[in-house]
Order: sequence, then structure tokens, then C-alpha cells
Amino acid sequence: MVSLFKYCYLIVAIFVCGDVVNSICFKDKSKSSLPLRFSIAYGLGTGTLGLLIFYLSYLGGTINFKNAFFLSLPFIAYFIYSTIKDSKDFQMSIVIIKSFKDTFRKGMLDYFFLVLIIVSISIIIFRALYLPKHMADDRAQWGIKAKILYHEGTIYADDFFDPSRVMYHARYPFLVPLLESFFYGALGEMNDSLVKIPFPLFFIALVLFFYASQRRFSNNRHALMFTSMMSVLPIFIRDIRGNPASGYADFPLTFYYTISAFSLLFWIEDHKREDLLMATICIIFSIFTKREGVLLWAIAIFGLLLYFLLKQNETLSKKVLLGGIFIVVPLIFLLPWFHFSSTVNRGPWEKDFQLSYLTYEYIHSHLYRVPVIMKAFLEMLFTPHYFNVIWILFFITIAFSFKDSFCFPQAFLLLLVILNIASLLFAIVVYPWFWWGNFLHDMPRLLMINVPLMIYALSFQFHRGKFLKPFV
Amino acid sequence: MHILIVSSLFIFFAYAVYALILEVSTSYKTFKKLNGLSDTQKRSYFIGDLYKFATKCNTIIPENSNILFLGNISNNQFSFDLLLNYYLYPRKLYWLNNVAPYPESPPELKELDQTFLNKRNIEWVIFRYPEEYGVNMLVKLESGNPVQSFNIDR
Repeated sequence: MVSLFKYCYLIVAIFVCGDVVNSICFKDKSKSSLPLRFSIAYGLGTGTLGLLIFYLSYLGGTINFKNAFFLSLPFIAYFIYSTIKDSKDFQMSIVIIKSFKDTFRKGMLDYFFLVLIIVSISIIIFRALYLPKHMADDRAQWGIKAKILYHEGTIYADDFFDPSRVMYHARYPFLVPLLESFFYGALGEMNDSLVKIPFPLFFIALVLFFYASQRRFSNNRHALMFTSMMSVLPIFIRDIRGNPASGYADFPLTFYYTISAFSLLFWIEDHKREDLLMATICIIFSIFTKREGVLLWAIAIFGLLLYFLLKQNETLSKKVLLGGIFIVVPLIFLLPWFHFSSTVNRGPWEKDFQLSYLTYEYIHSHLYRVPVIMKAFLEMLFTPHYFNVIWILFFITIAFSFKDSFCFPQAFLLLLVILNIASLLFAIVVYPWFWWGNFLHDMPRLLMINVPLMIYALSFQFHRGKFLKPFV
Repeated sequence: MHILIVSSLFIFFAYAVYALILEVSTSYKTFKKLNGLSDTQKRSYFIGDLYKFATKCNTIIPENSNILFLGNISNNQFSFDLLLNYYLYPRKLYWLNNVAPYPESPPELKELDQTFLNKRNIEWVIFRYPEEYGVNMLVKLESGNPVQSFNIDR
């Protein structure tokens, strides 16, 4: 009973922490939209608590439920204080909930899209909480680290430093293992079903964020339709590696990266500083979730630089702001992580990518892989088992709205998708180990992060081109 | 153009509904199969041999022991050692040589690097080799010498 209480407290604490960070950093920006407030609160809550516990352990503190509880207390106190102080907010929330409910009283199509979303969420909740971990990396990579952090209570456990210890990518970021270790701590045991609760919540949060983002330009039915398109994709609902119920870090990365990429897009469109700040915070969490986060950060910086290059009328202050916030702040906040990970066991499995691979001889000797990789890639794009026909729709839409798609700000999302695909394909070509072929099966999981960006681009172009005028 | 886009959307949602129905039915079948089973039984159902092997190891090897893992690559597909590592924890699993962690044939216990064994306080060895080698067993060590062994059924 106590465990259940602690478990529920932790879930509430995550949301409250995130909501408090949201209201401090962004004032009332997302309070007018309940889906946006919920999703942002979850994203900021998981990331903030994870990073705070990491800092605590970095300084010699212990990772356990008690410390997570004490770290969350100031946030809870602030939340209660601000709710009492500003009781208007509470009344406003009720009004928002009522208006949110009203938006669904429209028609059969709305209900159809809503049913699709609810069914896919239900499948993911069922898989996450009823089934034990049964993929590969959920246990071999992330789960074992969570167990170590829970059992040893510190990031300085020998397991991460001894190169002889059976360990897979000890240097990979700790956000997911830390979140899992909080729940182990709350449960008081290493229960590998209930520990997966953060993952379906990530899915719900992404669905709500995606819906709320489209509401910036579209009506309810349009937003619901494209949100349902995202939530029913086989890559999310099938019981395959990386799905949102599996316990892999790919989905949390997708969630943080989506918020970051969308916020950058909004910043390019509206020039609001809060959007740049949100993008920065979420890219920090992306880097702290999976190593690919660094690559995504670099791709986003490249995209922004290209934007500045093409839009020469942008002011110098805007460029300095970008440099100061989006490039420097993640470095500062993640300095302890970069330092810690540089001291961790760098076993033979860690040496996946090195600058020495970027020589003509090295690349040339690996070019024989290109036809095999391209065949697998095209098969994945044009068969519906993972992405339905979303890639085909994406290409058709780009072809029909060629001029718009290649102009900023819309071109920004397209650029992120193309650069991510190109970097993944290149990484498989130069991968040093003989099991490079495994990546051919892992491609859908590794390309999952592009899905929200692609569907958002589709949604935007459909809205702009009035392609669905008779229906939505 | 509109026709092409609307028909693509129709195909999308038709397939989406089909895939969703398929997943709901699979989930329901899984629920029916697992209904009433304990967590351990659910794991056995999903994970099979690996979990059986891990459970056997857990009943024999005391918690917080340090264990050396010896197995070759052909018998270590699907990350057997990494997953075993997850189920045996807080028992700690080690590789003898992290650069070449999978010796093709089982090494003699006497030939193992005693300094390594002593430094890591290795008390147990797991041999996980294909049937032709006849070693799928646990060996208890004392001062680097075998004192007891347990065969594990395949």
C-alpha cells in the first residue's frame, strides 16, 4: 500500500515539478491549453528531476526515493502556494476543461479520430504495464543501468568503470535509467512491468503536444486527424523494438526532440524568446536521453545556421541570442554529464564512431554496404509494416508543394528529416563492427524521431493547400 | 492532385484500422494467455530458455556474488550474456577478456588468469557453450580452484 502511494506520488511529483518549471520559465504561455500544459509539464518534470538527481549524485549524494522526494518538495510547495494565491488559475482550468470537452461535440469524423487515438494509447498502456520487459536493449542497455543505480544508489558504481564488467554502452546517457530507478525506489523492488509507467506517459504527452501544436494554425478536426495519423502508426503500436511501451530510450528521445524542433520552428516563425528557451531545454534533455541527442543538436544548429545564411536580414542580436542560448546553455548544463561520461568505462563496444573513419580509404572500403543499406531503406519506406504510407504521403506532398516546402520556415523541418536520414545511412556505412547488418532491422526504430516532424509538415501543407477542404 | 491525396489518406486510414484491429486482437490473446500468471510465469512465457537459465543460476548462486561468463559467439546470439546480466543482478557478471569476450572453445579453469579472478573476487564461473562441447554449467571456485559444479539442462 505504501509502495503504491509512493508510486502515485512520484507520478504526481513529475507533473508538478514540470508545471512549476513551466510557469517559472514561460509564465502562462501554455496555461491556456490543457493538452499543451500536460505534455510540457511531463517533459519538463521528467527531465528536470532526472537532471537534478544526476547533479546530486555527481556531487556525492545518493540516488533513492527519499532524495527524489526531498528534491520534489520545493516544487510541490510552490505549486500549492501558487494555486492558492492565484485561484483564478484553477477556475480557468475548469473553463479550459469544459471548452476542451466542447470541442469534441462535432461529428462522426472527430469521434473516429478520437477512437483511433484512444485505442492506440490503450494498447501501449496495456503492453507497458501488463507485460514484462521482453525486447533486448530495454534490459541489456537501459534496464540493467536502472537496477545498478537503484541498488548502488550512485552513478559512481564500479559496474560503470570496470571494463571487464558485462555492460553494454556504459557511457550512454542516464535519463531513462534514472527515471526507472526512481520507480524501483518507490516500489521498493525491481518490478520490470510497473517500472515502465514513464513510457506510456511519454506517448500520451507527445500525442497531446502534437495536437496542441497543430491547433496554432488549424481547427480541431484537422488537428485530431493528423494526431490520430501519428498515434496509429505501426512503429508505435506494434510490439517491436523501440515502441513506446518497450522501455527503449528512442521514444523519450522522440518526445524531447519533437518539442525542441517544433519550438525552433516557432521561434523562426514568431521570434519569441520562450520558444528558443523551450527548444534549448528540450535539446538538453534529448542529449541526456540518448547519445544521438548530440547529433540531433548538431543537425538543429546546422539548420539554424543555414536559415541565417539564407535570411541575411536577420539582426545580429538574434544571431547572438541563438549562439548564446541554443549552443552554449546545453554545454553548461551538461558539463557534469560530459565530464562524468568521459571517466566511464570505454570498453571495446563503445568505440563505434571515431573521426578516423572519415578518411577516403576507410569510407571507400565500406562502400560495398551501400546497395544493401539502400535496399533495406527503400523496403522500409515503401512497405506499410512500420510507417504505413506516411513516407509516400510525405514525398507526394513535398512534390505538390515544392516551392513552399523548400522555403523557410517550413524547410527547417524538412532539413532536419533529410539530415537525420543521411547521417543514419552514413553511420551504418562506416560502422566498424561486423554486426553492422543489425542496423538494417533497427532502421525503423532509429528513424522514429522523424515521424512527428514529417506528419506536422504534412499537416501544415494540407492546411495551407486546403487539400482537405470538403472534410475538415 | 486532390484525388491523389485523398486516396492516399483513404489507404492510410484503411491500413491503420486494419493494423489497429490486429494489434487489439493480439493484445487480447496475450491477455487471455497471461491472465492469472505471476510475474515470474509471464517472464518464462516471453523469455523462455534464457529466463529458465537465469532462474537456475539465481537459485544456486548467492546474491552479490561475482561471476565469470564464458561462452562463444555462436551460443551468445541475441545478447545472451547482456540479458543474463540483467536477470542475475545484483550478482555481477564479468568477461575474462573484454576485447575478445567470447572464447571459441571453453578454456580450462586452471588456465584462467588467477590475478584477474582474485582482483575481481570471482567465486563462480558460468559456462555457456553449444551442445557439442558438453558444458552448460556453473562452477563454484575457491581460491581460483573448482570445488563444485552444477550442470544446467538445455
